[in-house]
Amino acid sequence: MVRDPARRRCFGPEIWFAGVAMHLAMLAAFLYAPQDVSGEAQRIFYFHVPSAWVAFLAFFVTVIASIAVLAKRSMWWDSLAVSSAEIGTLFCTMALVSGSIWGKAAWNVWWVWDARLTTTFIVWLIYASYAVLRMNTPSAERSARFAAVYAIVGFASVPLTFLAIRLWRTQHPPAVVMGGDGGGLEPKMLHALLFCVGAFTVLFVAFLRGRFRLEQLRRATQ
Amino acid sequence: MSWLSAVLCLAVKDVRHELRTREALASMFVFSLLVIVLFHFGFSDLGAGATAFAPGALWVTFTFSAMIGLSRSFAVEELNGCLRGLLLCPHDRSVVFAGKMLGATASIAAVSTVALVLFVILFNLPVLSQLWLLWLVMLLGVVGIASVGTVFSAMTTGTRMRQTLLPVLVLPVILPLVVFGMQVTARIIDSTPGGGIGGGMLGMVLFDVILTTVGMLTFEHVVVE
Amino acid sequence: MSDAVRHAIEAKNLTRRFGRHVALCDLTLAVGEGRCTVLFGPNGAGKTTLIKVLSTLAVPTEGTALVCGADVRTQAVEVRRLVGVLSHESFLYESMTAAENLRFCARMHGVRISREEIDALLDSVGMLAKPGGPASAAGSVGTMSRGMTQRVALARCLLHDPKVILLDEPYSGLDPDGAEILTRQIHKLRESGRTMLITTHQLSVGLEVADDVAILSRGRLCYRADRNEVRTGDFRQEYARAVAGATV
Repeated sequence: MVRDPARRRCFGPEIWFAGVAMHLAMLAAFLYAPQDVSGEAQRIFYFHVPSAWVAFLAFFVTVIASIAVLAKRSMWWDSLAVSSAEIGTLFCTMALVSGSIWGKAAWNVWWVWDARLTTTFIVWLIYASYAVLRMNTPSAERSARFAAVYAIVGFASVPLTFLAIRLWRTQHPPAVVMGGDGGGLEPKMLHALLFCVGAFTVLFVAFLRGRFRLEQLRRATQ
Repeated sequence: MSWLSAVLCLAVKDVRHELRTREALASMFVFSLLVIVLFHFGFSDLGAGATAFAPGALWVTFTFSAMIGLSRSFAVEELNGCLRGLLLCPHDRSVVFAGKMLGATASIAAVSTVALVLFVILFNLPVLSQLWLLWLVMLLGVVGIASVGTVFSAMTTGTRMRQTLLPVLVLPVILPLVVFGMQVTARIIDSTPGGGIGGGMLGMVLFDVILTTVGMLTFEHVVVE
Repeated sequence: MSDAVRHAIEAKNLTRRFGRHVALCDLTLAVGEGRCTVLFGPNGAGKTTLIKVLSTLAVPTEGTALVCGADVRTQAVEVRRLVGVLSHESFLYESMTAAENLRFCARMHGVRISREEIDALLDSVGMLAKPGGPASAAGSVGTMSRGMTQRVALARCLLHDPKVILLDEPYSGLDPDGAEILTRQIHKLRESGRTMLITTHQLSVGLEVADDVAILSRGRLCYRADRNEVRTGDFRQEYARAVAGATV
């Protein structure tokens, strides 16, 4: 049970740090990074790629936590798993939406079925199914166990999804090739991208801590 | 009693139950026919004919009739706590997983075989010489779907909305298998020279091996409290 | 174990919790070989959880449980060989007959059993194997009454000749006739020297068959006594106290 009143606040100093990092990231994306040949719309890239990165990172954290749930039968790890999954769903949605906007702005298509974007979509579906599974399992203990198994099995299938679509794409060459598909990035663009990835990671950690504390409080008060 | 004989005993029990009650077999079969009819009317305007939509239609049939079969696989164990009865046998839990998976594979493969043959006939697909290869690809797919489906079917017996929840859980996970399967099927139907199906089939085998292993390892955590 | 009385069931500091819900709390209980212990307790006391842990259907969070010396965690398969469970769930497949159910269960347990032996077993639990008899076993289980399925379930439980029998609320859903038949079966099993642990919340029936009695409340063992030391009136008071404590 939470005794220290100061600790009842879910978001701590890390959220301020994340705020600063995100502001700097915006500066990096809009001012530091040079304009790309395809136009200003390309700058969504500095938002889209880090979002996708965090979505996959969050999935990874969920899977590690899920393995711990099964090994230790611990609810602490389950709180971490569900928090990470929720934050991951959020960033995954952001990745998909930003990818779609970028596609429309730069190449006039709302969606491209390339390997990376499609895999991100499948990850989103797995996140959504995870949430639906949790919602429909009434017992807290079963919910923790089942969701953990689902996350692990889902994680095992994602790399195979990427491979399958890659293979599909080599046989159905796309009409539009999304930028950054392996082409070299200018050094300044790379710096900006890496900085944004770092800032988004800090934001993820801040959100995760807050959500985790919220989950712990919720369980303690039930 | 060895691991293998226990697995076979369980699988045979399931197959016998299916043959006796014919609940799942009938629904799966009727469903397959409906898909065939729908796809015919949906795509009959395509000048290219059935070869264009055949891979997609076939795999939709295999996948969704598998959902019906899998849902029933653990429904029979739910009544009277039979699953717990199985778990009380002096074997490793993987016996229950492998037995249910094998039983489900047998039922689904049986129906899918009939669906495949009907499809080839009704749509005049020029693949009779390659039918065995198509059947093999179908089998690889069914094995993968059954492995994932067995774990999730065991889960959904404890939840509300059992029948609608199972496809929601299974489909995103088996997607790579279905994509590989459709590719290979398309190449076989198109009779593309030089094969080129090696990569796809390897992908399917890889999926089956990985997901069956993961399924076997995690199954215990689903059924044991 | 070179102790004078070998314990068939030994639970030491057994705890089972997940999150805030504690099903068993620091439970220490021993059942001597050949003894019949009856465990009473209100709903939610943890009786079913204890049976599940002892039969390896559930994993304990802390503590140990041994069945005839085999640890439920590390020697689970061995424990399952030694234990037979009779629950309010029959573990029987409704589309199969009693004989088919028994044959399947025997195969899964690695027990070779002939047709005659199955018939004999069904007879011994009070079910006439021939069709048309008062308790016919020829039809599928789905058509049988609760009392009949309970008897087949008992036969199923005894197929692999278990040393320890766990009965979880075996009287639930039985009419007086069925209950009487079950009590007779339990007496027979006691005479055969098997160890039994029965959970129930029916006091009179439980006291009738018990060698030892115990009360479980909210996952804790709050009373333990030899049957001879117990007077029914006092026991009812103890039980009422335990139930009252549980609802507080």
